[in-house]
Amino acid sequence: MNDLAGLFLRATFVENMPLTLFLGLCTFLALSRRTETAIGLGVAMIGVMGVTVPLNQIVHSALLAPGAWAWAGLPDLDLSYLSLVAFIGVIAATVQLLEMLLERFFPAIHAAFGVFLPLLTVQCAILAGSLFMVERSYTLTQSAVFGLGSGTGFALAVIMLAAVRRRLAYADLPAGLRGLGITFVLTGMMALGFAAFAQMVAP
Amino acid sequence: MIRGIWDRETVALMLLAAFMPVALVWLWFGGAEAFLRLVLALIVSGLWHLIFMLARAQPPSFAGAVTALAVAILAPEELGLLRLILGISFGSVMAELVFGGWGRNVLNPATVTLAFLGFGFPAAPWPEPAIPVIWAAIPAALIGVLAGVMPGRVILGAALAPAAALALGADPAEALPAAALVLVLLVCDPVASAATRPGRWLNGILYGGLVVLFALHWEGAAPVQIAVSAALFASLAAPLLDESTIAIWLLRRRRRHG
Repeated sequence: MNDLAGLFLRATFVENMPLTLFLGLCTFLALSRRTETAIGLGVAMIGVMGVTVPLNQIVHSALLAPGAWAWAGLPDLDLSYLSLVAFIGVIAATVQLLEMLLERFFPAIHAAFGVFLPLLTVQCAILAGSLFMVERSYTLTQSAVFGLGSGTGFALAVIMLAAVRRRLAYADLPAGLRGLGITFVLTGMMALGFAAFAQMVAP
Repeated sequence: MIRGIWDRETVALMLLAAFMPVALVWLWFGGAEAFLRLVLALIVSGLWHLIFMLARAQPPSFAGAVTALAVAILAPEELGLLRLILGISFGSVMAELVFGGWGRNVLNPATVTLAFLGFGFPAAPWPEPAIPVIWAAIPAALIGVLAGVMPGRVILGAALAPAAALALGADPAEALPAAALVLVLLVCDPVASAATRPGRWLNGILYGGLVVLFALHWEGAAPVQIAVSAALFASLAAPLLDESTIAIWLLRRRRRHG
């Protein structure tokens, strides 16, 4: 239990997807302009990563890992070269399902997402979650915790950035830095802030 | 913040006056070396204020001196001239001046400078502030709070977390003196800390909590480094704390008045 809590905190703060690993920066920067969309994106990230990482773990261990087909008399079959395609397929299906559910039951949130929800299909942080899961050979429970933790870290970072950007209403920025420019600078400073956690839980 | 004489420069001057006890005691114990560091920091910070005045017509502010003082007291030692100049330039330009000057910035420039120096040059040893300097932080905080330029709730909130940790049996005592100094010099910046009342409490509690967390789990870190890291994260989270407070207020009002 303690290990799982440690894994969750590690995924949330130490290996924060946008701020430490610089993954998923496109949606991170684009959707942090307003707090409402940032919260929506954060919740979607928690949902999608919390579902896709364990699902991909099942797919990987049951179908793709070397020796997964041993029960069918094919112990030498290694389908792991298909993992990228399979993972993206699972992610796309999950996002599509999420979109349909949102459209049916929460039309307001669905409208707030607009075009960005389908874009989560090709979000690199989500795919990276599944790839890390394979690389570190997580079990099913561990992948669920890791997915939820990574999603939570992304949500925390993007909501924090949205709140900071709201304060920029009072700033008088040089023309060249307005918009994305200052957001990159602020992202760098947030990464400095999160770097402290990385040193804290040294392996 | 313009109410009669309460313009931006009054607040900056009050803040500078509040820092005087710390500055004088630190100069007394630091001697000529400390004085030279302070002069260097003042010159670099002042030059950038001058450049931004000429280039963007931003009026220079005494806040530059506040930044220079905090950096001179807390910056890592044995950095060498060039790195210190680089750090102060990065902090005061990217964290303050490009936002339109003091009062429009999001983060405290001294905090960013120190985090930048600590992250960029990890081999440089962090200073260990003399105990009298830390005692001088108490009158500094009192002057600041009584003059209304430092948020007292942040200070009280920051005291709560270590008190709770001590009550629970944890021992973050080693980091606490430096954390108190950083609390006064960096976290209680009226611009970079939270602005709503509950937000200020939470801001202080978050800072204190992070100091305790880092003190217990971050091996081999200097107390000042722990406090600066906690200060940076606390001020990054300050806008979010304000936003959440305002969202809760709006929700309650809507529920009450329909």
